[in-house]
Amino acid sequence: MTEREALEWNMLLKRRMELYSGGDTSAPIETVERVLASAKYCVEGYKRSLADKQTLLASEQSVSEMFDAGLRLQKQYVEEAKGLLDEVRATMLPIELIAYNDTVYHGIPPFFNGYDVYFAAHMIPGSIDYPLAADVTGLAGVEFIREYLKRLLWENKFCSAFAPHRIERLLQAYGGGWQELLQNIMEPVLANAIGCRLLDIDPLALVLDEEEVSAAENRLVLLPAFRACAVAVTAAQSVARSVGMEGREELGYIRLAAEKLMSRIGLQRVFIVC
Amino acid sequence: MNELERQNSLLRREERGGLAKCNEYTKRYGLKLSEKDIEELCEHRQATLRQTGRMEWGGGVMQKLIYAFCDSPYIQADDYVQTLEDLEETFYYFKNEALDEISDDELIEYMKRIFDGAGQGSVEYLAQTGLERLTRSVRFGTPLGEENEGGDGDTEEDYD
Repeated sequence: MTEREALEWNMLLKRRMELYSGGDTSAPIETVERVLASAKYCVEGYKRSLADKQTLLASEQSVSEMFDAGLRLQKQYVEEAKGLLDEVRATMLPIELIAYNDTVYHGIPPFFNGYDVYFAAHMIPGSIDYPLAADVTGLAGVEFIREYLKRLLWENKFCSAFAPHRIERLLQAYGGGWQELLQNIMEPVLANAIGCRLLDIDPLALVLDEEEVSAAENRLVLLPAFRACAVAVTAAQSVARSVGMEGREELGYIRLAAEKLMSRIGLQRVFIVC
Repeated sequence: MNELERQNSLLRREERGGLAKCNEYTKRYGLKLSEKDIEELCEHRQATLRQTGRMEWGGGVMQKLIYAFCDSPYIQADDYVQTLEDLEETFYYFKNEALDEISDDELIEYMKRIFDGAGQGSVEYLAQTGLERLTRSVRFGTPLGEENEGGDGDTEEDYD
């Protein structure tokens, strides 16, 4: 950090702390650290939002200007995340998985009541238990929630093409108490859809017997890992397109989820007999 | 040096200038801080902030304490610096004890009233009686009447 940047951060921290404390002159170090982390999160978020060609433009802006722009951006993300939660709720699968329903109806809503975009923008109040097929990494605050909800919406969209009773049959393969497991819904659906596609079976059926599971696995384990992954991703994206997913981002997410599945091939059973 | 320490070091530069400026106002009360005094107060401030786990910005609370207490009949030129240091320590200690629920100005105003009243210039009395009452009141949300400000059953009148 240059001396100029350090001075600008100093001015920004002072300004933020004065606002936070309502005119007081000191605060516990943990509070100052939190407010500073929040400001850094806003500035970093703003920088990330810029396309590469605009990075030069950002470098010419003062820390304070970048913070103000970053704060505006985070506020916009909050509104976007609220809209995404509404969409997720409107597309919920009729599956009685407790973590899935609790996270959407009881875990995420408190985020919007407890989130402090001004002084704790990097924090994530609320309770998110439901695991995604591909976890959100490297993000915090509302950026995390927004990305989580985007991915969940894509998962709902993908899974809604399959009959709920067929999805439940897959989940039942995890055992009697599957409703209480911290288990992602799309993961087994995607796995068996890939397996079906590889064997030229209708992917919407999701049904694979023991022999078919072995056949699908053999198609992949006999290939070099990178090739197996490419084959699985192609199959996954082909299924996704067939159920109406055409966007670059949503297909990118299907790729990510398929790659994660393929990282387990040969180590664990990926396809499910049902 | 981590980022917070760097910020802290930059903030310290501002403090020296601010304290020197206070002399213009306090000289009418016969109180003046020398360069050495200012240096000592800055050192003390850092130690106190470390001990109490706090960080200051701007001119810090010392300037507010100086402006608030310089007209006290109990502050003399020969113990001016020591009294300021004691007041600052007490201020931070009770700011933490009150969970930052009381503003700087409210706390200083309260301290001044006890210091000039029942405390008769004793910072020890201020800390052990009036401020204990104040922080308990803030923490538990109980009302603090004028009659309680002197400490355990004492009133300012008892000391008059």
